[in-house]
Amino acid sequence: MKMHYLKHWICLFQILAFIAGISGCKESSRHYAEIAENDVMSMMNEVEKATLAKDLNGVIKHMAPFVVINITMASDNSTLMQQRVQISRDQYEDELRKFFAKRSYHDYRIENAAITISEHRRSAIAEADILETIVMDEKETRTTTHQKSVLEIIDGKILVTSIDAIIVSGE
Amino acid sequence: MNIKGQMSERFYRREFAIAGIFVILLIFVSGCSKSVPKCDDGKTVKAVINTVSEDFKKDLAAVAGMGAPGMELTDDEWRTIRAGMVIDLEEIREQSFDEAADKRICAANLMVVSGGAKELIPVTFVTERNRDSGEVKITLSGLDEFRESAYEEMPLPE
Repeated sequence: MKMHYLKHWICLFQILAFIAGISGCKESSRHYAEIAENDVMSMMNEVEKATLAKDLNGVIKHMAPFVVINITMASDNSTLMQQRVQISRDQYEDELRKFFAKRSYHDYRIENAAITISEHRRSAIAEADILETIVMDEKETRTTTHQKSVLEIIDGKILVTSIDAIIVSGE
Repeated sequence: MNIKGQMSERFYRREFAIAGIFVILLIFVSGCSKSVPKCDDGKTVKAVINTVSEDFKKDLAAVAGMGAPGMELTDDEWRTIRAGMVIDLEEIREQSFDEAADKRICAANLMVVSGGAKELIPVTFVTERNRDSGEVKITLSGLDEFRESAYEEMPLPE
């Protein structure tokens, strides 16, 4: 009789240990309660590395599924009106996939980064100028984009919930 | 019924009575607490949509008012325009809740569908209750920034 109970307890313990193991693996990514400037900086660095390494998931994983992305081509002397387009995360992922497949050279630098953490520390605004040199189909393009991103804690993760990118110069 | 059966019946009756008292207490407690409505509460959402609608009306009235006298936006005209628009909130989330101040900071994507075009505007809104009057005040932000970026002044041709 005692052996019978012991078997049950061992079995139950093994199940519990297995569940604990799974949840332990799940929790390997940090669960955030607040946003610090360092968290935003490290995310920006991760995105930079992922972009240069053509790591699509490394870029996309930082975006909330409902992120709102606005891309604006600033007006120049030839065009009077600025062109603005709004895209979703899925559309951005598609465009980035095509871009990664086509590009032969990419230099990506972040300059003038400024981070503002909200009073309640559960959201932040990151602004920066992104200087890029891209070679695609043997054609070189240099652009400077002013990017403003809003980051929030969603289910314990720091995710980008909106991006406003203004391409201020391109040649 | 044997004694064992009577005992267990009594036991279950007592348990049931205790559970009932707890449920009644819970109803009373939740009914008495008057914390500011949640971010996705129907009243909050309606109030935000009303604020956005009023802002759009003011914008349109200002544009119409720039024309010749008598070109002002009438209420009937506004009602027709508004009927053709869809204004809603998507992905509503709470950023913080200050229990002491009875204040919630919320974020959402404001969806505006007009003339077949859909636009999402990331907004934040603060809901707070006036302790004296009990009224809920909603402060919306993000709409002005959107207007500035979307309708940036065009450079004049030389």
